[in-house]
Amino acid sequence: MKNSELHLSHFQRHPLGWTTVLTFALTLLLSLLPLPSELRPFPTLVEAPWDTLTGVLLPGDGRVPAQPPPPDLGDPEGEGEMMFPELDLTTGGEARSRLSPADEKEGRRLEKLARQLGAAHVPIFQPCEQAGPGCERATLAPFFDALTAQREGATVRVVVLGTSLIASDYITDVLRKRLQSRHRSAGPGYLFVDRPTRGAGRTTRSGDATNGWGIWKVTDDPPAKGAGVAGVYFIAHGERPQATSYSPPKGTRLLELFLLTQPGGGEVLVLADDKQLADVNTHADEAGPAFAAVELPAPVKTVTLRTKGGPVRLDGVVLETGGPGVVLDSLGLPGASAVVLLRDDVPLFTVQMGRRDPRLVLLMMGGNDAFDISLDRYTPAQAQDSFRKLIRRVKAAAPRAACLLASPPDGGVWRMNKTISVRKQTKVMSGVLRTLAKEEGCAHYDMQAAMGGEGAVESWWKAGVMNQDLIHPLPLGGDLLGYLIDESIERTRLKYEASLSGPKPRRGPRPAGQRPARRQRPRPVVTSSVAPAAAASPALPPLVCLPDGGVGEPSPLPMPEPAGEIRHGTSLEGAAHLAPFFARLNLLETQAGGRVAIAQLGASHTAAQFFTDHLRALLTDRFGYAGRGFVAAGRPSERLESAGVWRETSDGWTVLDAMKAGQQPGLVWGLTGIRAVGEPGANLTVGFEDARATATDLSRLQVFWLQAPDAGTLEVSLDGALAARLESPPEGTPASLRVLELTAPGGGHRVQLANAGDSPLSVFGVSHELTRPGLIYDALGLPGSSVMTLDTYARGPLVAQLHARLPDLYIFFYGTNEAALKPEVVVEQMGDAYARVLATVREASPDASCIIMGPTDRMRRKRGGGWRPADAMDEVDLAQRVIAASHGCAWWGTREAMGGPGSIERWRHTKPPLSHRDHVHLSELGYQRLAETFAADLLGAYDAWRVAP
Amino acid sequence: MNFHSARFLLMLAVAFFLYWEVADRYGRPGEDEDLPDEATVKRMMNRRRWLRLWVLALTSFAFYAAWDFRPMLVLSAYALVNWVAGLLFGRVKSPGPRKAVMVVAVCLHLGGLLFYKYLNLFIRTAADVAQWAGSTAKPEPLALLVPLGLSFAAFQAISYVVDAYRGQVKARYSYLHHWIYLCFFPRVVAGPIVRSSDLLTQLDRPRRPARGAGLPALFRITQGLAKKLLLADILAATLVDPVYSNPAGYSSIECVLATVAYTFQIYFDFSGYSDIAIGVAALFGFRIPENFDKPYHAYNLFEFWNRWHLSLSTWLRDYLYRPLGGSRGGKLATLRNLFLVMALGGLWHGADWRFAVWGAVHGVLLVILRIKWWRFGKPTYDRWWKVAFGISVTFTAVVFTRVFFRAESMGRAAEVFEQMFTFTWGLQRVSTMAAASLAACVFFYWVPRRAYEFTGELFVRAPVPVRVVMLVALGLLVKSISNFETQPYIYRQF
Repeated sequence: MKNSELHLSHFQRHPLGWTTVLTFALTLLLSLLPLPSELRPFPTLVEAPWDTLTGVLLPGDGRVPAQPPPPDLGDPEGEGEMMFPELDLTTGGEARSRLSPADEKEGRRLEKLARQLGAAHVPIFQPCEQAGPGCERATLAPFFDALTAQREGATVRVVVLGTSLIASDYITDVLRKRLQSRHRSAGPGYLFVDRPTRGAGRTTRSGDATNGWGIWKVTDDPPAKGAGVAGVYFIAHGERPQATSYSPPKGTRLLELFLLTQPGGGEVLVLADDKQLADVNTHADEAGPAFAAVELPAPVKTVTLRTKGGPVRLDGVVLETGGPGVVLDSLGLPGASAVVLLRDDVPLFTVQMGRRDPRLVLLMMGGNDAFDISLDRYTPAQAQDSFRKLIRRVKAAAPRAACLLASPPDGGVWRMNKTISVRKQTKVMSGVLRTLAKEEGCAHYDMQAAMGGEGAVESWWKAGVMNQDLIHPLPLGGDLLGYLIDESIERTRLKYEASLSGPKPRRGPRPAGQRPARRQRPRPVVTSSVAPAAAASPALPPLVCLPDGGVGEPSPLPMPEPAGEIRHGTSLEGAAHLAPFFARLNLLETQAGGRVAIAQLGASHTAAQFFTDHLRALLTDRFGYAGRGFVAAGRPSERLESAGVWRETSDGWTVLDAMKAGQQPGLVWGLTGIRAVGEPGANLTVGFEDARATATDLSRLQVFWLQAPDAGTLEVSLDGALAARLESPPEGTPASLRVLELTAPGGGHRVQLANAGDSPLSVFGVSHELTRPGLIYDALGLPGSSVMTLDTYARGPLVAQLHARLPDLYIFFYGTNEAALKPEVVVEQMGDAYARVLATVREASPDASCIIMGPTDRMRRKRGGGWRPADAMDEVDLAQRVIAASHGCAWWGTREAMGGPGSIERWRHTKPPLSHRDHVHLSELGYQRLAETFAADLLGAYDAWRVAP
Repeated sequence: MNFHSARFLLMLAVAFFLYWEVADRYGRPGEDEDLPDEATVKRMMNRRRWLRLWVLALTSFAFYAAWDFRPMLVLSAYALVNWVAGLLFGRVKSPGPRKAVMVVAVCLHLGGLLFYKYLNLFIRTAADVAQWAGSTAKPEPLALLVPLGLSFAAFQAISYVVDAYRGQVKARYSYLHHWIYLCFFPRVVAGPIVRSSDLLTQLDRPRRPARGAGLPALFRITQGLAKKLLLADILAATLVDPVYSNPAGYSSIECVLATVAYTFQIYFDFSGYSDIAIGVAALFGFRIPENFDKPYHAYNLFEFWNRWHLSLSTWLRDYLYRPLGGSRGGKLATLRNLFLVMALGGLWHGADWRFAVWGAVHGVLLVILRIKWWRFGKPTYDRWWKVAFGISVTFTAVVFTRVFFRAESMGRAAEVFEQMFTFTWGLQRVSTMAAASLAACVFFYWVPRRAYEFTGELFVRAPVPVRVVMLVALGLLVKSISNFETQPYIYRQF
């Protein structure tokens, strides 16, 4: 009793103290009892008492547990040559033997960590780009082919676009190091002027810059406008000179500035170890992207760029050896996402990316998108849409590059009870990127799976390799991710190499654009030049050498070839896609079997007939002639006469075309985009005077017309005799495109189409073939049109006409008109139009191959005289190239074949002129020269295909 | 260090023990000393007083340094200015020099505030203006470490200088007094703004809580933690933050609801903090004035400001509005003063023009209200419907102006308003948890004060074991629904 009173008295005397002490005691008791975790204030107290107590009491802010220490991986030295032999997939350890001993050792160390963490060697998902009996060509093949080719001298560039994950060059540093260890280093690549977020992160990918540079980023609020491939640019204002310095690694011989010229632009002095090498003037009448390259002396310790006068905008600096090896550009921007990077200036992005000309573009993004999705800022569908646009933009800008999407690492969120909750949207983004990889022809690397799957962030955190934010790995974690990515790429490459060396069905020839590159020597640059970026050819164009070694001024477009000369044999890419066509050609040539038809769809270059006539002649000389092909209904034309075709029309014909009709979608047009409408009683004659035909030939003629209840009656006469009378169908019958086939002995024939009815009659054209082995070449051109015009044709009638012609090869010769459109819209329009048009033509003849011809060089007059490239010249050229690659077509670089940018101007001044003074069209001779080049490339690829094993 | 961290609770327990037990023990005469005479008692009390002050100072330093000790140099400089000003006030009796001392000291305090808190804003604004004029210059922000609670410290420091100048507070205090006055840990981060006449005088004579008087303080702390962790944070995580990060993704009604939710969130967040500050101070024998008085019960905007963040609104009244002339200079001057005080008071909350806009909008509304009263007379609230109408209108005004306060930028605020006026009505994206937490906030706000007092009494009177079970149960409740990210105290950023 007394004790009890004593205790009560104690409670009463110190109620606050007792409350505190007993609360603590009960908390401790409940935590230690075997109760459900919901009833235990600190459930981990039993399992990890010290960690729990220190976690509760010692961490900063009481919010997040203290950063666990990094793991001690020990020294893998002496643990055997190959610590994990099952990882060695090579035959004879080829890949690993190429790593330096230090990298090999570091790899073993990281492999040990990977196993501690439950990380995985995740295979790279590759959709098949070209199916055959197996997969003939996987998505990463361009990159792997380039790695093979670099052994013979080429530089292979990898561009990584990413977020804060790589902004300090974590992850990518290990990836670069290992790639360069295996395949040689060709230098550091693209470097920033200063760190995009000044004062934060490592300076390994930036210069040591003065503080006065203005930094403009697409992640700013409001976002900076006019950013290029890196999403960030740097401006030094005139009032105070700014500088940035780099320490190039040994062997660096080339420096290239990515800059923007502008009226009143200042100069950039290039100094090597304080000795001035060049003075680059960024002044120009118009603002525009430019590049300036300078050869560096050897050895050089420090390269300094110092601005002088005027504002200077410098986007980045490239340092390379100019020799064989791998360069990896790490373009990480904190806060970047697909939505953010779409703010980049499209033309500038295209030009700069084209200048880098990578063989692999790695998009290492999605973490910020996952975060934004978690906050409902946008939906996964919107993220997918943004990524799709970004991928297409990248592909258009880097047509020779393979594309690899790396989904974000596993991420988490701290709960208030200091446990980790998984950020579920990471997996969502991974799924989004996997879907896009399938649809857009990219490979996919699942970084979350590589970490160990959803929830792996917790074990990474506990192992001390994850930042407290549960988003960014710490340096060691970044190293591990870089190692895992490299391992996966290397394993995929080895499988690819093995597939090439193993027995396989007959392969087509090596595409022209992918033949082994010649050894590159350091370019003979003796001083600087500022080359306007219009020259977006894939390889770095030759730089203009100034004789006096003085100040570089904006130079005219590079002219790698003498005026009027054509580069031969270099402009056909993706010839492997032509294998079915080559097989038919081969059959025709070797066994005189069958008919091979080519349909060239295009604009005025095609409608002019010069190119097609000459090409037809060139091809039929070798493969045999089988008729003139399709001729549109229309008025008399001298252009047709050289091919032995003439037309006559009576009064009463109106010739409509898709251009004059305003490109309204869904109208019915003939193969050339026209429709001849004849009044009652009107007649039209198409004559074929075929000198190459003999009396023993049998002609096959087709008449294309529109049959409708309210249309007139078509009377078809062959060589003056009525061959068919085709009445209009009964009321209620839907209008349909009809093809009448006639045969007649001999090669020369006259086909008359007459409207014998009471209503107008629409006819589209007549075709003529000889039923003998040979080649037919249809010229289907509509002046002024574009592929978007073709896309407006009513699909059903177009398929019916093409099915009647049954081409084995489609050649699309569009682009020159598109080049005059607005760059910011035309690329997307073309992409969509080509996708639909190719689906349509493949419906008509599923086995046909296709070639997309790039636009001829086009220029427009500058104010005040002179000529400059058409507005969308580069964009269209690049876009068609990537469209061809992504839709399984070959691509022929017309402009490249002409001699590159500015060639139309040079062609104009040849004697006789090869181009028209409008700087759009070619002369007859010019078209013939172009046809010869095209034929040479096509036949060269065919011959290569024939001799390939 | 956050109030809702175990680390703080541990530090509090240690400081409490040192403050009351150790200081007492070492403040007593030794066993070998004679019975205390008057001088000994004085010496003893003096020793005890200094020991306690040092305990408070060290605890305050530890509390602040857990974040970063460097900004304490700025607060220490503020204390130095006040100490020197106090010395000068003690020596100088002429009004002119005294005024000069006061002006210099106030300018130094304001200069520090402007430099650390607003300089980057001014630079950014100047750059924006220059950009509109065609400049491409883009100055980088200065890497200044803004001291936590600087706004509160500056206003508190100014209040001492002005009060000392006016003779309302004793001029001569030690530097340690001044330092503790500005850095006293229960209020250093987010107030309340305590007048020198309140705190400085208490530093020398802390009232030891009577037996059992610590329990109300414990209840106040518990109440504050519950407001913060169970109401404000969950409302933020489930409704306010998602909507304000992407207003375009929500309907009009959801945006309005989120703004209403934010109105309750900020109340429970800040009043919860104030409860903890008042409770913790009470444990050490200090009385800190109340900061809130059911602000959403206000039936006009003037009354709202007499109920919301009282320590700030009374400071603005005493040290800005009245010195500007208050309502003594004619109607136009009154309106000008009213507007100016509110706009500056708004900007005090943060280095962003949206806070100034928020304050200015309140200023305009107060001006309109004042003119209406002059024109039509002050309304009487003698009918329930008049009260209800007044409360509704006032609450609506407070809610809509909160948009400026909560949005991350003026652009985002415009987006929220734009979305509100699309008149879309769906509530699909308001989760059950969000709706429940909003309902809980509304309920606990409207619970009469008497109910809180009654609960407090129950807590105090309850047997120790029952009280212990209550506290542990509350902790488990917090743990069970704490699958949300913790939020910093909203007013901590000011």
